[in-house]
Amino acid sequence: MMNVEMRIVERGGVSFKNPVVVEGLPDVGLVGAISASHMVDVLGLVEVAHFESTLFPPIMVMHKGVLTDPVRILGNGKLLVVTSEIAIPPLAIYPLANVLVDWLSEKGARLVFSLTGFPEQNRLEVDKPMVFGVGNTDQALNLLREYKIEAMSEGFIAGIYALIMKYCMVKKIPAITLMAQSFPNYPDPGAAASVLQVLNAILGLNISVDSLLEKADEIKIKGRDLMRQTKSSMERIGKVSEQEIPLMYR
Amino acid sequence: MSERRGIWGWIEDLLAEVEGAMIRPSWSASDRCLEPLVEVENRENEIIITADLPCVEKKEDISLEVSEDLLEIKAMLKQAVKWEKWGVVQKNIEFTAFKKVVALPERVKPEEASAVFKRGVLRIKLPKARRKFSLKVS
Repeated sequence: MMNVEMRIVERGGVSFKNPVVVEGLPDVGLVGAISASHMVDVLGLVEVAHFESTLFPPIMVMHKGVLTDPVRILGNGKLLVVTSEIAIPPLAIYPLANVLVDWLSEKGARLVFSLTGFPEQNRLEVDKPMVFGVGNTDQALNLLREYKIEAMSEGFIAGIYALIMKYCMVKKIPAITLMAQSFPNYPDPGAAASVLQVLNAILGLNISVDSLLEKADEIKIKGRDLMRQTKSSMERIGKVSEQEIPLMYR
Repeated sequence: MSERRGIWGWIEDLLAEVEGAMIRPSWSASDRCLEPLVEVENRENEIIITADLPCVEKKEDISLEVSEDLLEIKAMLKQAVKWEKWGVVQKNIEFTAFKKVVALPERVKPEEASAVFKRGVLRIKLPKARRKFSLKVS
């Protein structure tokens, strides 16, 4: 019987070779979750590990008749994708980020990306969402400069990716958050396509976003429940602070 | 606000929170409707409601009914949606429309309401019914 706040349970049999990590947990516009799900589909990634926590709701998912944990790490020795089919409860955010980064450090992760959305009030007027970046080290910021990704220099970031970047900094793992202009509370496959195109360029991947855009309506319909849960969770973690102006003291 | 009103207000808030936290399905088998995601923005002089309506092709497929305190949105899907591998009961349902009734936070003037449908998002503007007077500062 489990009595742990948070832990990662590995499936075993994977030899980790300084993997690159992509975190796509549910957040603004479900940009990360949609991107991660598309990566898993296109690259045929399989489960490497899952999270167990007494802080999660007592939910399991059935896929092809198999009982599956909803918060998982999929991939292989070189590329890992972290995603979830449930909204992460606010109380689970700190331990999840902490346990994840400790585990990634143990596996020798060399670079961590978080994919998310940046709430855009005029999203309807935006044809192709722009992608902004936040980096946690000089190496991460240099990478943003190299790929001409506009970096946020002042402002708040709130959510699990903020903690992942912080803990990665402590462990000296370069981490980048890529955020696309997105509907705040509607699933946004267009924004997911934008962050994936930037990720393609940086990592030299070749993930086509055509099928993602073709299935956009279907994804938006299927994503309604996760979006509702995520919105409720975001309201409780002070997500709105991302829209606030910090006091300039320099 | 009196203490009595304060306690009832607190209970109402608590009930609303519990109701909001309860898992309720975003679909109805009886009328084969899906519930759209809706946002309500309470501005100074108007209430703006947006609804995400994927798979709805044109404005003619949307019907809206507005009263002073309620808005009902119904929109036909361009083709019926059915997920044959989903759940046990659900896999047999063919959904044909979106439907949502929104309780408005304040009374509005339904005759002055307007709506636009663009890129799958419906935006409804509902002017508030309350009257305002200018006040001179002495």
